[in-house]
Amino acid sequence: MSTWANLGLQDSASPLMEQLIFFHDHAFMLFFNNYVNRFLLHGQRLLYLLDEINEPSVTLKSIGHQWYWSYEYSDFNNIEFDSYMIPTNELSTDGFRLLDVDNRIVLPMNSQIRILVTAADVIHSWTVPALGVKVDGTPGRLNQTNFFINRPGLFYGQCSEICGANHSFMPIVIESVPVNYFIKWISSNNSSLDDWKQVLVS
Amino acid sequence: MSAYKLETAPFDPRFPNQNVTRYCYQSYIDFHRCQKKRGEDFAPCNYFQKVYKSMCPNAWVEKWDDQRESGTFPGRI
Repeated sequence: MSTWANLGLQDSASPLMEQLIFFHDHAFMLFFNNYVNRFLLHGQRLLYLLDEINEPSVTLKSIGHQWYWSYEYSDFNNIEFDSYMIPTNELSTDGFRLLDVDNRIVLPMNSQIRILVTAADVIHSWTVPALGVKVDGTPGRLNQTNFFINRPGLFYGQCSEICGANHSFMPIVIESVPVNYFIKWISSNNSSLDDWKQVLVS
Repeated sequence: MSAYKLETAPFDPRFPNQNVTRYCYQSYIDFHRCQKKRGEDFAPCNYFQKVYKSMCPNAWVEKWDDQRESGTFPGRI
């Protein structure tokens, strides 16, 4: 339930999200000061920034299923894996309940990333608040968005479109690593991939 | 496709918006038309293949490949 306790946004991990946070906090402050909408121009700048065309260096496909996400990296060798939430009874004591997954998405930091979201059955929505990304995945449609991660770390999100019984239990976790680590991971297809689902085409 | 440089399907101004379903489908069709017209060994056709492999979900590609094999693919190749 929304209360005054959750007014703020998560720390940003993307330059666009940083701008969104500035706008949000600025607008909030002015709203409570009863000033005229001086931030209209600010908002327009942000809208244009969000529509910038940029050349991605990696494409990640994310397919929503009931009730897990599957990811495909097909730019080099064909890596695919499923990402299920870790059930609470199997969670380690330092794990995040309802947020941790078995296989995380590994992405390079400081690179423009294109993500294509679709779904296999019903409508899902792929979101990571720290990056300012929310994209619906609809069966038969491929939605594209771009983002840029400017620091390493783990970023969490949850499915944002009601999709059945376990809609609240199909989270998203991005592990952002330096580019050379990412290249090493891609070429060696290491243990963070779901074993039986791993497909290698050289 | 070297191990040291990350590259992927480029921005295509024919598909500037969020819905890039057609970019995937068009690249798939263009690759197979190119192959049919120029032969399997014609290297420039591989550009389309790289694009559709990057853009299209593998399940869609498998489904279309099966349809082409069985002669039920709805597009014109």
